[in-house]
Amino acid sequence: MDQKRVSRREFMRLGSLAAAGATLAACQPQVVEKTVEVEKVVEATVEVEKVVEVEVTSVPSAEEERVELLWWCGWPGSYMQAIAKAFEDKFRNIRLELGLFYTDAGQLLAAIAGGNPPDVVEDITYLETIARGVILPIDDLVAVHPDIAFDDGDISTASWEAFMWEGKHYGVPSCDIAGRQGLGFNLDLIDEAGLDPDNLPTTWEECFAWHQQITTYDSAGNIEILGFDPMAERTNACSFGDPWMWPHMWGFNYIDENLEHHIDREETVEFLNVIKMFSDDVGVEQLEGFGEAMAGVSRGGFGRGTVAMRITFPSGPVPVWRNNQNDTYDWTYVPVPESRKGITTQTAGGHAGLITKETKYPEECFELVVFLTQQEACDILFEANGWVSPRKSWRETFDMSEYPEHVQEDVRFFVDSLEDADEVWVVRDPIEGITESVWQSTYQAVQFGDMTPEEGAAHMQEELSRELARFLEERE
Amino acid sequence: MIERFRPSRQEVGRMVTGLLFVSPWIIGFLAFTIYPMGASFYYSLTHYDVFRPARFVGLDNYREMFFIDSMFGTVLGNTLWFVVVSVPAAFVTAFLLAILLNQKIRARPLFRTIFFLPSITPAVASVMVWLWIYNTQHGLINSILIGFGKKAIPWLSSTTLAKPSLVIVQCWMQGTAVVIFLAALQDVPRALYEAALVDGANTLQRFWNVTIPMVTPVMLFVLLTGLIGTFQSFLFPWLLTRGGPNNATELYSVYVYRSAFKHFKMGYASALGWLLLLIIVVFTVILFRTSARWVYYGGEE
Repeated sequence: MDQKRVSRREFMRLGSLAAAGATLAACQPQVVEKTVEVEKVVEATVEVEKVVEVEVTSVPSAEEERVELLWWCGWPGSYMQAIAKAFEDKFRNIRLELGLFYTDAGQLLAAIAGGNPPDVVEDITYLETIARGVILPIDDLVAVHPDIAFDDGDISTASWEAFMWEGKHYGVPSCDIAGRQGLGFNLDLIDEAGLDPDNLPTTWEECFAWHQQITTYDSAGNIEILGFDPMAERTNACSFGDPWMWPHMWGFNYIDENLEHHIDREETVEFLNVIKMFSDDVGVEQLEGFGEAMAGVSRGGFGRGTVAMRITFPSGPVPVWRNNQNDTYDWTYVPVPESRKGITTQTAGGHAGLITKETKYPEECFELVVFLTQQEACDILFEANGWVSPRKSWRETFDMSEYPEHVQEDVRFFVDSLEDADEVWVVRDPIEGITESVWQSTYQAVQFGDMTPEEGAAHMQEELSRELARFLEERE
Repeated sequence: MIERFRPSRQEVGRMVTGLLFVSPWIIGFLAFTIYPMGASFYYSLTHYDVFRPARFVGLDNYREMFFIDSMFGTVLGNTLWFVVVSVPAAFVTAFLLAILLNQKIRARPLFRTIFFLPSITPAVASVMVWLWIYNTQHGLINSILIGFGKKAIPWLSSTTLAKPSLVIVQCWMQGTAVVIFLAALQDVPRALYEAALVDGANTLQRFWNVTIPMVTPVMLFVLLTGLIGTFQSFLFPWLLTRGGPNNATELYSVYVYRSAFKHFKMGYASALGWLLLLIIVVFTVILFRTSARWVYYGGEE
């Protein structure tokens, strides 16, 4: 009997055809939708919930059509999900898809290159992205919206200006909007060192003297208590809503309105010398290592009672108090050089909701960014992170009574400093990411002795001027 | 008279079937290797930040690399140092471990598993562990030192020690190379060892004259893959040190990433990538050329 056998080649051919067919079938769009609705049926005085499964085969009607927005909310906390839910409850025709991760420039680049950018994005290098033309200007949207305005005084002018480029507004100030830096003190460590907590230092020279008095070492020379690491946290940053603040302490802006750099100057040499002074006192490797040792902890050693002074972001007071209620903290203006003693300085910035140009739903996106400035969202953010709202109306009514008086004062300091400081700086740097890289490598080179402060100032001027010239050339 | 090749219908059919089977790979190769390589070469000749169209500038990026960029020399120097030190170190570590694991000891499979585990542990998890080990105050090593009244070692905050610290991590991750060496060691014919023993060779002489020559082809493979991989090291330097302190661990791939995704200089990053390819090719050619002197292939005359 002649048995029909399938050869190996035929078997493989049939198998691959079957696999290809299965793949094609799996890629077909789903037509049938199933929705589960919960019906509440009230019977006399008893409320009964009945789950009803309803199969819907038709496309939803125009009235029921929901807009879907992709929102890269910038921080992966559950608080962002809470804000998203609150927004969806208010705007039932909008559904939010959240990007719950720390937004990275590379991700945004890839999304834009791939033709799938988010509709709303936060926590990016704001000016750098705005200046490259991928963000939607919002002047027209603000003009017609009933709940927000540029000039009603509810959001400070400096905060609005921080997200302006070439005369247009691009961002609605939303999260952590306050003066961008403050010098925090652990008053208990200061007291233990025999210093006067009622007479806090206001100049860098005074801070250095306090640092030397507070810093202690064990018998082998390892740091036990550190007075001050001037490069921890805020002083390291130049982007993401926190412009380079060192020039402001010395009374100048490193980039002017004509987009020219002013870095190679005496003042830059002076503050590089100040940074080197602290490093040399402790030993740069030891200082770096001490900072890294608690890098994963909120505010590092400062939040754990082993560092006495730190220049923090405005979100310092609440989380520090929550993590360490044994010690008392206080915040004030950042120090200035002796030649500017008595002058208080602050920088505007923070985080904003930006709408990308590719969005199909600009009005809906704008509702989201406005929602971030309103009561419900601001309450959630303050409870989660200690981030203050950009709105004066929120700050005047928000109940902080659960926090000790000194914490309330510190929060108010950051908020009020934007109005009260002698100098309030607004920086618009279209290459802020590059500025940050060059700043960080330059000050480290000075700390480690690879460059003198004079060389560092000249190096920054040269590098950043060249990069800015290239950016401007490409714009043309 | 030259006969023309005229394939029969059956042969054509077989050729088409073969091509159909291999077509997924061909499509993938074209789409995910050839096209990106071509695109990256084109972008290396442009100024391109992804947000705006690429602008052709010829060899401007390459000129910037060699004559303008002050970081390039540092980055290249760091990378060459790292390759020259960590490739031999990792190689020797893997080989010695394989020799140890080839001995007849109790619970040998358990030891083999333990030494292979680092290779399959997720990189981020490994980084977390190493950050703790190297931590200046609370790390495994330094807390013991501090407990004994000694000065802590600034593993990742010293410009002198940061790169060696990465080399140690690299040596720790040689599980795959160990397994490959182990397979090669077990493939050495016993008859050769017996013959050497009969000739009066001691342990060291057997190792030098039998073991090593027989595993040299595998050594070449491990060296080559180690070289290529180390030149492209990114994950551990980026996660452990972010290129610091003071650019001491700013390796080539870290710099490419920073240029592309932090500085929005995709064109420049592409040019850096092509130069890296050239450097790797040069090293590979040198390795192959010299291999004739030290690699023993049993089938050769």
